[in-house]
Amino acid sequence: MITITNLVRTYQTGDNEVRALRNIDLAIATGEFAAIAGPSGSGKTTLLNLIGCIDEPDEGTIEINGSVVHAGKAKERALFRRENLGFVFQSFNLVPVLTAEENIALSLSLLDMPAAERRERLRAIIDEVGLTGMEDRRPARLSGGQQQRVAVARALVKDPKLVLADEPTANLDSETGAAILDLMHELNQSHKTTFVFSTHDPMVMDRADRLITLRDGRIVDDDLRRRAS
Amino acid sequence: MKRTATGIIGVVIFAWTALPVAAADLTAEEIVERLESNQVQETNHATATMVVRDRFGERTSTMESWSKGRDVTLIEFTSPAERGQKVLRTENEIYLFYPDAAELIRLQGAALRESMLGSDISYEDMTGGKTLLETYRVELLGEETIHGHRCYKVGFEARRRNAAYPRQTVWIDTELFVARRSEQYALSGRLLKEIEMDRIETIGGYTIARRMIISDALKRNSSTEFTLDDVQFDIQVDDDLFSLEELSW
Amino acid sequence: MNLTQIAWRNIGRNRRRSVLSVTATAVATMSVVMLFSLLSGIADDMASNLTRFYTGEVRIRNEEFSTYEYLQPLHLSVDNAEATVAAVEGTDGVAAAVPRISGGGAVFQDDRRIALLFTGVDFEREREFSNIDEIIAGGEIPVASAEPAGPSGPSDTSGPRLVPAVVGAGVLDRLGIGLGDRFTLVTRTAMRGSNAMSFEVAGVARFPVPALNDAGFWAPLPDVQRLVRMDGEAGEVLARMDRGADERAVTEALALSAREATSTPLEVKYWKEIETTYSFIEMAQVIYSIMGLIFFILAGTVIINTTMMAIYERKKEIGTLEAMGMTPREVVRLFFTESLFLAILGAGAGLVVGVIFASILSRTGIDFTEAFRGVDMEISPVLYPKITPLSTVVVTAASIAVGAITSLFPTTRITRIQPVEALRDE
Repeated sequence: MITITNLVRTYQTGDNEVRALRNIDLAIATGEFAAIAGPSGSGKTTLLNLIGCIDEPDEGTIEINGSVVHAGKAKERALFRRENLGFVFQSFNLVPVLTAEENIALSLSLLDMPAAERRERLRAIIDEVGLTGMEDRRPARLSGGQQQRVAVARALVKDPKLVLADEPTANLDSETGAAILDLMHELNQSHKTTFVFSTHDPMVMDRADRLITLRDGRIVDDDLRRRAS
Repeated sequence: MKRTATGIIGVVIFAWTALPVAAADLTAEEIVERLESNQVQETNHATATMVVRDRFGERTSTMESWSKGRDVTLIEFTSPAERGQKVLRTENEIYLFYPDAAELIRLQGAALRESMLGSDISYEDMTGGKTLLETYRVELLGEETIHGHRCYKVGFEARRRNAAYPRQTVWIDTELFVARRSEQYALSGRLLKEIEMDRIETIGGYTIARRMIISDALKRNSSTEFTLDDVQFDIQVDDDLFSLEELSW
Repeated sequence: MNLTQIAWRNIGRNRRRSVLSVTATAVATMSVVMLFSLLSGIADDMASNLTRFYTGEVRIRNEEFSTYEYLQPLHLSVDNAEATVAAVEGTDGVAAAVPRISGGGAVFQDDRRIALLFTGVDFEREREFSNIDEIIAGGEIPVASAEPAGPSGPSDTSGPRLVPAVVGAGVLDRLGIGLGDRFTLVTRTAMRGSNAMSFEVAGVARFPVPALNDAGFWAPLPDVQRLVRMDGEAGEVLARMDRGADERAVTEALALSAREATSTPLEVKYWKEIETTYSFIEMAQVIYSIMGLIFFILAGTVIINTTMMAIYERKKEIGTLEAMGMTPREVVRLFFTESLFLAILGAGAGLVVGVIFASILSRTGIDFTEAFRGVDMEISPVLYPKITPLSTVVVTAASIAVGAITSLFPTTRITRIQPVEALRDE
């Protein structure tokens, strides 16, 4: 579903030029549970951001289901993300003034759908992520793991084609991290949603069906352990 | 007796007996004394016409006056617009009688500078009392010719603050000891009034100027012409005429 | 969850900052509301004083009078005064008309010369025209006399009677007299001569204008006509119109009527065309509007500041929202709505407080007597602010508008940030 050709991304930091990604070629199939790993500075987050079209490449193309999204204007990219992508962040990034349910509903509210369907989806996803009973709490009253569940629910409630997770377990203890990972894997299986992670957590790397390793902006290893079903 | 036009303008009567004196010998004080001594009359009775000119035109009023000695004068207006109005001047005060009012109006102090009948003559110009030499320091400034007549030019400077005019210059005829011209100034030296006297005549032994033209230097196109139509000196004038009772309804 | 609800909740996130924004706007709004209410009060007051005591709503005079006004040219009068007044009264749209003669004279007391302003009036008509009953503080308004003061003929030896006058309270203080006492006034006449008349204090008036109160008195017109030798004449004829009348039309109509009644060449002017201190009011309105705008802009800078801080603090959130698919425009709308709420709250609070204060003051009045000492304007010393649509609705709307517009400056910058940059921080 994702086809990346000759991707280059360079940053200016002060006087320095940092080559974050050098001529990346990559293809990811629908339904894959893939991880992009590598030491910090390897470019994994950059790659994720580019796939998620919240950043623009300097050279090369990214096609998602045939669309070259980064070629459009900010508004078009936003709309594409709205309908097709879900994000899970390292630091959860929930809106503090909204309850868990409202945070999840926020991503739905950007889409057009009847109120009944909205409610139905919300109930379902809350249940799926195991937050029943806590949906009225604001993030301040949720643990890290619970917050990340909310984030996952938020990403998935709109049934996106692709979920991008940037180091989702980094701020969680290993037990909670594992649980989140399990959750995401379940959803990957049940919803057939493609998941792409960036991580340096060995546990995540282990659970991934495909492990792509980056170093210094290049792919140095691409290990497909399990085919997507 | 009337004040000369140099200090106070009112009914102007000059009496003078011509005494040939060598002009060069006289001091300023002596000249002024001569001028003043010519003004002593026992009584006089006159009628006069006053024409006031301003930007709107000309206004004429007529009056009749009586005076005795230096101190008292009674004026009664005879023209229609102010018929019955009277002015009584005593040593330091002026009383005004208006038929339309219910009481006499007494003028004192600064009020004496009110203009009489809208003319360039103020009530103060009629106050009696002190002599010129008592009120002013005098200085002989030279001689000049006014309208073909040789005159002494005498400068007057007030001794007190509340004199009619702080400074004056008077041109006094060297032979007749009558004033032909005078100018009044403010302390700053600014010209306030100018007076020209003419139609000098001798009547009943007294030499007088029958006509005076006063111009207010501060107002444009503003002048007052005062003419004695008829005058009699040293006639019988009753003292009662100058009483307040006489000034009543 | 819609944008408005989110925006509303968001203003509660940083209480202190929101309170700061709201307070700044509230203070600015309250100040301007009160300022404009005061100005409205002043305008009303001045209008009332001018039309009652000076110019009426329409003023008819000899056309040459204005040129020489400073010389007080009584002789430049309006002939056939009574007929002229009647003609004006009979014109459609005219509620009342009065003849007046005004001039200056002096009272001599000891060695003081006290300058006074006299006005000859038709008291009966003035009750209607200038509502003088309202300003009488003692005594009474003279009843129209059968004939004027002064001897009725050469054979009348009764002497002049005292002319009843309504005298300003300040005048009585200056003269040191009271009700029932007399004073004699000397003045120039229309014939450029002099005359005097004695008046009895029949009534005491509290004129709202200090200049009139301290120097003015009113006496019956026939007596004043005699005093200044203006029999049958008036210095001016003043008219008031019916409420809601067309000023232009009525002024023209009554000018026509007046010109038919008298041969005097006339100047007929609607009061706002006469150069008075009222034109200052109109100028003041412009100046105050600008000042008000400046106040709001200043308050707006507070909003700009707080909005900028909010955006800065919530950068990651902005990035997240955009990652979720909110377009940059929508994010801008979110922040803009928050600022709008703050502006509305602030303006609303300011409006309420301003209206409360202005209401209280409109009843108690503000005493400017000391401040106005020596100021010669036709303004009463005690002023009453007046709450008007301009001073409330317009001011509040302006406040909100400025606050909202100024918030656009920082918020529209959001569109220039890439989501990834917003997410990057911290």
